[in-house]
Amino acid sequence: MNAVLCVAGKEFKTYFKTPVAYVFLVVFLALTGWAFFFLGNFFEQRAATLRDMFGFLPWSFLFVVPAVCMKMWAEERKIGTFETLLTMPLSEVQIVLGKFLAAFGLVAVALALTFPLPVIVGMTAASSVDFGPIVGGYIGALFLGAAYVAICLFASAITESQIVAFILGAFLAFGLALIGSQSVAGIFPSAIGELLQLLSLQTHFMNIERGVVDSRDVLYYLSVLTFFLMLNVAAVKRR
Amino acid sequence: MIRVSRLRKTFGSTVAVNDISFEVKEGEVVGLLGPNGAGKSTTMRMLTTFLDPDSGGIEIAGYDALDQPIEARRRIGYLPESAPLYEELGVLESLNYTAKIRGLDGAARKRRVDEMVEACGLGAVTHKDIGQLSKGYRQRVGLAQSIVHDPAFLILDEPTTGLDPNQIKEIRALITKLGAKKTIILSTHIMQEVQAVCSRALIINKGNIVADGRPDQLVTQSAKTGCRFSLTVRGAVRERATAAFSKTDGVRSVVVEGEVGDLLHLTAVGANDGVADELFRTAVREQWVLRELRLERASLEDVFSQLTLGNATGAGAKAANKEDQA
Repeated sequence: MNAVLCVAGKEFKTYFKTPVAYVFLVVFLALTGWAFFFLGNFFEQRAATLRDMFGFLPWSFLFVVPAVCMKMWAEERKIGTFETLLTMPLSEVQIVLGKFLAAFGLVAVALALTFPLPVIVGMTAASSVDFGPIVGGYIGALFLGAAYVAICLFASAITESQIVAFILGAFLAFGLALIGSQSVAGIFPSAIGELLQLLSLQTHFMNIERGVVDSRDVLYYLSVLTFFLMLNVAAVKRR
Repeated sequence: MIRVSRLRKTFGSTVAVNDISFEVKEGEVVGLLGPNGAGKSTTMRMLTTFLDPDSGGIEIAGYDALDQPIEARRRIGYLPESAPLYEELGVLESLNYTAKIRGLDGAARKRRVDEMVEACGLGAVTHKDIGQLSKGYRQRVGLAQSIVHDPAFLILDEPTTGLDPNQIKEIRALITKLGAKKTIILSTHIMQEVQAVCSRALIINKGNIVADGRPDQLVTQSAKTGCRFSLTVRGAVRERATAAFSKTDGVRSVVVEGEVGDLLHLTAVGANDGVADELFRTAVREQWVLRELRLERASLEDVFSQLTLGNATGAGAKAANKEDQA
């Protein structure tokens, strides 16, 4: 555990030594703010929820999470530190977990920085505010972010090129989000369509975002997370 | 003790390392020599448990490196080729990170990092980021990092490649200093390096070990063909000189290398180095002025060329080697 935190700490600090963290945070907050104020038509509706903000997360994560993860492995391969890292007395699982925690930590920081939005809602809402869905939304957002990070980290582990890692990560996450939408799932026979919706990152997020934290959704995210982290470990073990 | 037995590694249809076995005893400084692509790096990557061999065994200080890689890694310091480092980290940060991952903490870590800064001469750059360092300093940071946990074994892949002559000297001195209490395996394709720092040379070619021994031993062995003398005389006629030197005691063959004005260059091969005396006497008897008489020592380079290029030798061999690499 100590070793995991050590790797995580170094990776997390490195984010703030380069513009990555700042660009990520600014872009993410801008996208989220835009979704909250304009997508949700906040100024006219004075809605008592953050649904529009949460609803947009699967799509804004699509731009920013791959950017946070792309260098994690690809750069190690490119500059050769891959070799020194993997000859440290650590297991591959420890290193993968360390890197995951660092990237997930940054996503969590970004989510935490959206706190003014629920405060605004609390102060300005036209009706009384139900904080249940808001808390549920944040929990769901963390799960969603964790799944995206795992996917994009895996994408980074199989290439030397950060650009390839970005595109591949975004593509995988986009695919997993999109298959649940009506426009994709709807064109298949209902059995397949339902299966696609079951596998979709977005469908499960919509449940949580409604304020219902169902164990099935939690289980789904944990499965996606574990699956891609295991793929990541396998990719690193293959060298 | 490092014990390697019948190690083999292939990449697709290329055999990188072909069934090699060797042992390295405590305190030895072994130079792994070979042309590019001979299998040096692959061998080192297997020793450091970065790569798994297709077959064969590796034992590091009594631990099976394939079954207990973590235990093996704890005892090894490894500096890959071109000293890969995290550019964004500061020098101290980088050392501290490695020390932490290596399980050093608190006061012990601080003391050890300070020692490394001192030992590797990093005092002047502790406030800098690694991205700002010269290649020589990067190499030093790499070295410092690889020994921060005080490993018994140090594996260095081409530690002086890409450095200027002064930096090469410094790094070699550093390796010698650090190596006083460690067992070191370093790879190189620079012969002087082996002669300068190694107590033993392993020459690898096409994935096989083709020679193993003390550098001077290897040279002597290959010199069994005899001692070569280079001589320059003035006032001799070509034919007469060849004949006279050929008849000299102990001389096996004489070749005229060239003629410049009244100077005649010859190469004579004799049974031993005492033949120099006889060559001198012959010149005196014939009343030739002996301008130069030099015993040419076979160098490790000659040995290397002989072993890695079959029967080609000398300048031709070097040219062929270059073509090979091109």
